Amino acid sequence: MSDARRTHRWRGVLVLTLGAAGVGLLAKRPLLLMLSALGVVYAVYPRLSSVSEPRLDIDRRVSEENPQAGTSVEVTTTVQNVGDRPIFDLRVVDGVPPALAVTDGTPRFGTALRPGERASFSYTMTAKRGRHRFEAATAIARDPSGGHEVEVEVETDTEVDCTTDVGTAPLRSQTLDVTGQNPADSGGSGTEFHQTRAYRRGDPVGRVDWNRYARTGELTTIEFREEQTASVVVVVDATPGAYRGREGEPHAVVAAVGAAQQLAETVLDGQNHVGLSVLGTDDLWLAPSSGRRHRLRLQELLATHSAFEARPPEPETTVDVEAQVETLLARLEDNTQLLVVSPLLDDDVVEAVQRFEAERHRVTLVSPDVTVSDAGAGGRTLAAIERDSRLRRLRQSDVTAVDWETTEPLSATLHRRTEAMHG
Amino acid sequence: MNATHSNSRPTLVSSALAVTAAAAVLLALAGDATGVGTWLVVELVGLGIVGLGAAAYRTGYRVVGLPLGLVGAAVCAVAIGGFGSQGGPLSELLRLVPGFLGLAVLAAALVPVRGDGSRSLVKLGAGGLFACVVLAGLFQTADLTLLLGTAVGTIVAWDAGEHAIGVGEHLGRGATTWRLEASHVLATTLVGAVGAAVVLFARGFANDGLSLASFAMVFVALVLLTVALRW
Repeated sequence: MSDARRTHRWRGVLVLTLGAAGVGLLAKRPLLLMLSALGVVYAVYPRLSSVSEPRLDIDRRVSEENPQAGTSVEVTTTVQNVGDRPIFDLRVVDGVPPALAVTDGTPRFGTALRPGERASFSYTMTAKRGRHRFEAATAIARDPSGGHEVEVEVETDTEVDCTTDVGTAPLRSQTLDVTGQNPADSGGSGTEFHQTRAYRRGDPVGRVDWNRYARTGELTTIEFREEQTASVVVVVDATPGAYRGREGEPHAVVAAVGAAQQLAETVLDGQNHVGLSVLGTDDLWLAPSSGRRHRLRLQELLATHSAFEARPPEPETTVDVEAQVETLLARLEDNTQLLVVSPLLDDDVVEAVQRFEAERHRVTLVSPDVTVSDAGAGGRTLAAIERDSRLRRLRQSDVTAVDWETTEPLSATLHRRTEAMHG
Repeated sequence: MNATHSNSRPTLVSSALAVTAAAAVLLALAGDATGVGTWLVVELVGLGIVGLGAAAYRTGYRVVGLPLGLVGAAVCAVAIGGFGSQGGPLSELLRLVPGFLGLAVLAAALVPVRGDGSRSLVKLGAGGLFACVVLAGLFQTADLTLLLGTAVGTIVAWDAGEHAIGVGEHLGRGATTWRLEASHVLATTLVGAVGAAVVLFARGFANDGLSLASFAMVFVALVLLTVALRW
């Protein structure tokens, strides 16, 4: 009730009332004075009716929870008045995931509901890659006169998961020493023979080459290829500058988060440790680890953490990327590899990547392309040219950079790239 | 963000109710004036053509929509001019022409002719109709019941028009909203009916013997009472 605001929509009635009364007095017409009494009734009307905060229950049904990208998903939302007072004027706007476009029908609905009554509406949206959460639905209730209104948000967890396996993550083989996949260059304990070397005090007795000792009397130690697990931190660029995109398409942060979800899954599938961090309005650090619970935690963070908010930050928001890079560096262990997902719309990220490289963290960059190239006019926008130059700069400093055209699945881009690399 | 956002025009049910109420007020006030019904029908047809033209224009058929809208506007102008120029007592024309104009303005605000509907135009249109009601009281061509009825009709026309724009802003024309709109207009009509009944009931006591001065005093008392209700 305290949140009810007055709309003052009946204020004009008073003007009519006084006008009629004035004319009635001047022209000596009692009928007009009586008419103005009616005006007083209408002027008092919004004072006598009131609205309390509506208690609503919103239930959302999605025709397909794991749709293919590009297919239509029908959403049916049911609103129920769970309060004990009727709602005379209820307007509901469903919290459609920001990245998804409604193609048929409208996610808006207006009705009047008796206590316990429910009503539903449906609309169709087109699925896009990524995991999409519905936002809270907004409901506005007004009293019958429309003189007061209350706005509430009703949260209901609904998710559309449109992620596909990307196949291979574009990690750099030098450091990706995955068990059974990529041999490490350093010897140690393992199963595959690497080299023999002179015995040093403290070597395990089991690794001494006794055959050789019998033949030559030299104590040597056999080293095997070390099987170590790569530790990868996925860093998403969600700086204010990345909240840009092509007309009618989700902005780069949505694309980047979608890519991060898929990449993290893939890297985890390869028995590696994966962590998560972000360059953006909010700080986020998930130390590299593995396992089922870690995987769930990671996906939950990507889907819900405020740093990945799909709604762009306020226009004047600034982010100190340099400071965030230093914080991140302090958290990273040696040899941790970084997988940066950034649309490369800012020089900050390029500098960040170069800083990581300078600190001997190998960086792989996946860059969703959200710049516009006007093929019709044969020209390209300045943003596209700048982005190309950034990609070139990174490649010159030996960073693996994958240029991802967002209209095709990430898996296709990576697959093509792997094919090209292996001939 | 998507197509529904650009479609925040006034909702259809309330708009239709507003125009209907306005037309009914005009017809009820006609009394024994000649030709009101005919010219009203012509004006409504003109408004209908404007509506069709605007719909065609917005769905992309600009070549058809624009001339259609202009033809409709011309038909409306002919209706208002035709009524105004017909031979009849001047007072009759004077007291009904604001209503004809008001109806056209109200409908133009709700079609809408431009933008997403205009609250000022709705007020202006309803003001024209209310001027008709006041003039009917001034020229004493209507009794109290008719005056009260048409005043309620005018307020319903304004209220439905304003509501159509408000709901349109929030939800757009594409959303299902008829229940909300119907209940709102019904509530306004009921309040009007109760108000009119109270006034008629009060007049039963004060039918004769009360001077205008005492009426004025009662009215001032009423206004003060309203203020006392913490206006």
